[in-house]
Amino acid sequence: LASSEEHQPDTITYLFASEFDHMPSRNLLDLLETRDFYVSFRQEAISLILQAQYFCDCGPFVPYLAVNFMDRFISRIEIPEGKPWILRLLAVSCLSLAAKMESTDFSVCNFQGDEAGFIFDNKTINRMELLILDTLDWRMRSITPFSFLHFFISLSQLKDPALAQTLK
Amino acid sequence: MEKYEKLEKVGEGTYGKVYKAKDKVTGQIVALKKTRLEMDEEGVPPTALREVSLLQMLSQSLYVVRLLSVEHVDANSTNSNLDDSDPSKRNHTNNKSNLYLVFEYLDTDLKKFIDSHRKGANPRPLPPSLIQSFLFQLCKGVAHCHSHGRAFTVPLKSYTHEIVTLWYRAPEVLLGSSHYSTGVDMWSVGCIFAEMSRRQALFPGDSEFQQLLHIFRLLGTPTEEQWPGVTALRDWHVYPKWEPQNLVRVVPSLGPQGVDLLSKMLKYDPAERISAKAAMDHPYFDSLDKSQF
Repeated sequence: LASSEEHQPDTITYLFASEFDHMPSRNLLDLLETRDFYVSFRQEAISLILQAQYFCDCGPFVPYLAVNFMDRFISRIEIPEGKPWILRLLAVSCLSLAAKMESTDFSVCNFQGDEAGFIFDNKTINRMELLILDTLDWRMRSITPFSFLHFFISLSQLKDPALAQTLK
Repeated sequence: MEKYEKLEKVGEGTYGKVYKAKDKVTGQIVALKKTRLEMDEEGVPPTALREVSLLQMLSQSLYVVRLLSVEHVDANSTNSNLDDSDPSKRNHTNNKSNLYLVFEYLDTDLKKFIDSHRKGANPRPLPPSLIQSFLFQLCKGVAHCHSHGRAFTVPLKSYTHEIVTLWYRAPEVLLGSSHYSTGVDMWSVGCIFAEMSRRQALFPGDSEFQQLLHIFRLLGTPTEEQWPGVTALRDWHVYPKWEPQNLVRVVPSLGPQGVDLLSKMLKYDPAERISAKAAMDHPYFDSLDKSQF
């Protein structure tokens, strides 16, 4: 079909233009350079997100998106130190939002439980979800490396259309 | 929401109410679309999440209504700062949230505009150059949405059946296809194109079945040759065999190029239907000064 054609130049321009709306603000780098707390906070949160991915067996898209949400959130809102529950609440809420972007039939319970290490009630997670959404202006369609895959596949001009279709 | 002063209610639908409002600080006039955020056990509904974030992304285009901000208001609102207290210790009933979508305010819409030319003191056709200009801008907006949608959307496993206002609904959706694509929008664009010229709807069905019959009576009952796979669609039945009519009869003032473009938008086989981007290069627009857009 004509889809490979439609993925050409325009799309890539849109991707780059839109990417800026979905990036952490600049001060994230400063924070990471000047405050050890942020480095360890981020590492721990990412580790939690990756563990949860393992338990719920979701693809790479959901954790990537969750980390993007988390980075943007901590670059905009001051995280108080000495409240370890914030880390876990933020991680599970970002995961929940990311999972909802991928699939409509999602239950936050998938990430909860002793094994995954999250034990918040739903109301708490819901509040945190809303706080994240408000902070990120409801811009949840982040540009991820996965967004660029279509473009590169269409560039590679695969001879076998069936293979190209599978890759997409 | 104290930022805005509500001026009047300008619309109401199943989704909620729309208000004309004024930004108290800047004086900017905006449209507030209020929707209930149905918080169930699973928190923010995925549909709301997907739709609002899509709107946020698409409204960068001049040809898509601009979403200025999204404000969510808790019924029992408190400040939402991580510092105030441990949220796990609050006992909020969190299920009465409202979501306000703050849009730029537009004085009118195409429906009202067409109505003003059909009824009232001075009924008259829309000037052909205006139809041409409106259609081009419509295609531009749709092309923007389609190029974004394709690149950014994680495809859902299945699509809802109940989409698009009945009169503008594409035949593949009416026949129960669950794997429709951007072609459904081009069908709608075709219907709107014809409506601008006729000042009345092209296919004003009052049920899904009547809608199909309206379409078949004008374009002929589709055949397997014309549209491979049509008889295998979920809601296909044996219909009377109507012959296709000449489109000129329903849009006599459109001119040959306009009729040709319309016929490409109303192709039965979605794969054959013209894309928004290709439509913008159709000879119908040759006489249009595209540099102004």
